[in-house]
Amino acid sequence: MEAPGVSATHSAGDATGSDLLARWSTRLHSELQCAICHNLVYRPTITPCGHTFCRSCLERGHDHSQVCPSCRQPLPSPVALFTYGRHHLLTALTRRWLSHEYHERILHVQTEEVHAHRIDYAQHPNGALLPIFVCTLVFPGMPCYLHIFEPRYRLLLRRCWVGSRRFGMICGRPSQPEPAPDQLPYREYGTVLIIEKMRFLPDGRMMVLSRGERRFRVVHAEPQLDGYNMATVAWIDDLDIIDLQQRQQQYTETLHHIMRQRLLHYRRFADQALCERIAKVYGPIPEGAQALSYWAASIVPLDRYIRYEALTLPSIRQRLLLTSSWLDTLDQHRNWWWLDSACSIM
Amino acid sequence: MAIPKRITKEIGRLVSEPVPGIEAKSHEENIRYFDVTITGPVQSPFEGGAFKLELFLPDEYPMAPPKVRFLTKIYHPNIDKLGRICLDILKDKWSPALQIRTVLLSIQALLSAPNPDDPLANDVAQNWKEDEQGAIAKGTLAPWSASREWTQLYASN
Repeated sequence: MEAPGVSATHSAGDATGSDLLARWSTRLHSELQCAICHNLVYRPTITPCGHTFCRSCLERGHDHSQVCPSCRQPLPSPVALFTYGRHHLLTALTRRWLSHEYHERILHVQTEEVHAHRIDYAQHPNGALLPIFVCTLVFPGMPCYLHIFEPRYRLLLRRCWVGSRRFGMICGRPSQPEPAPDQLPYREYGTVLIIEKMRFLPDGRMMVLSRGERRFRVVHAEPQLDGYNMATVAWIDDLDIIDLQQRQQQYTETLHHIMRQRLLHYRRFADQALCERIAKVYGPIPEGAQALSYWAASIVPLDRYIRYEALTLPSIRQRLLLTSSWLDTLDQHRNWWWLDSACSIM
Repeated sequence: MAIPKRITKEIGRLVSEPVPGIEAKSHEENIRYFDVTITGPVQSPFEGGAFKLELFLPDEYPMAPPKVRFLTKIYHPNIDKLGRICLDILKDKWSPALQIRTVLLSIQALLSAPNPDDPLANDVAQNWKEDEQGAIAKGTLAPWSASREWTQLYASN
């Protein structure tokens, strides 16, 4: 049975009916706008004080201030807010009555927010547009523990978490000397990190375990996206992995063997607690020349601005040679330096 | 990245439904940068003046507040020599549900109702308070002579 109002519209003729419907949906559209992004509310989330926003808008708002954007009443923790605040009725309503606008909105979210956070190596064999976290030096295969508290990086991590869980990590520049105005605010080479574990703290901060995956070079710095850096990057792989010339391969293998013996030697004589700590963080001395070269470059107790050079080198060979030279210097500088358990990194 | 849809929408609405006494135009080469003119509210010492301001939307807008500054010199207890404005919603009371329109309306309201108890320009606030008390004692409308003078000097055509 139809409601009297609806049947009256029908009897007035098709033109008037569709006209009314169009006016009604325009009206509905403007009523169902999110006060933060001014778009049709998407994944609507309702606060305890009764205001409704897009989930992602409210998440961003919560990163900056833990009060309702409309009335300034305190908001609960993100876990409670985003678990119990989902507004199913409104979702159904928009999907049913504003289906065109709803699908347009999904498409917009996909292109604007999700796309750059979904890195697919098969689709981008040479490089990609990558969100950039400027923080520290990480080598491929090596772990990186992060405590995320800055609003812009919470946003970056959340977007990556629902995407391919990958983002670019680049070491910042030392504060002295100050970078020139035309210089990038960060280094040229970085590492793609993949998020392995993420724990959301009740107040919205995150504890993240990520791991280096592959190296890249910044080709072009793009404009910032919602406060964090974006860059077009090219992947880099070790030349001696690609180039299979027998003689050079042998040279790499020899260097690999020497480095392994050297590390085993240090380990034999170093403080036991220290060795355990390294093994716990970086894992045991890995198999394979490439993995070993990154492992060694990670544990050498030198400043990250010095060790950064190892990330820029184009081959395992050169990386092993550089790391050996660091170890030589340390050996000359202080005998038995690796015995010292107070050393911060090793 | 592209300019967020919200900014384009706000600009559109500022043009199609302008606020009385407020004009805001975004620059063509950088639409995040606005030239703003606020006319002095009636029955305030700023009446008859046209005050120029600049407004800039940072990359994090609307999560971060717009940056607004008076370009025209103004004698007001909450606005300093450099044109910086002491207004809570431009600082810690910012909310992403506010917008360019509401910010400019708040500034217009600040011209009508200065707050000398939360001053940015101390000397002006002091002067203002004395002026106000003097006027109340005399039973006349507060003259705020310095503000009127400055409005005529700097904000009139």
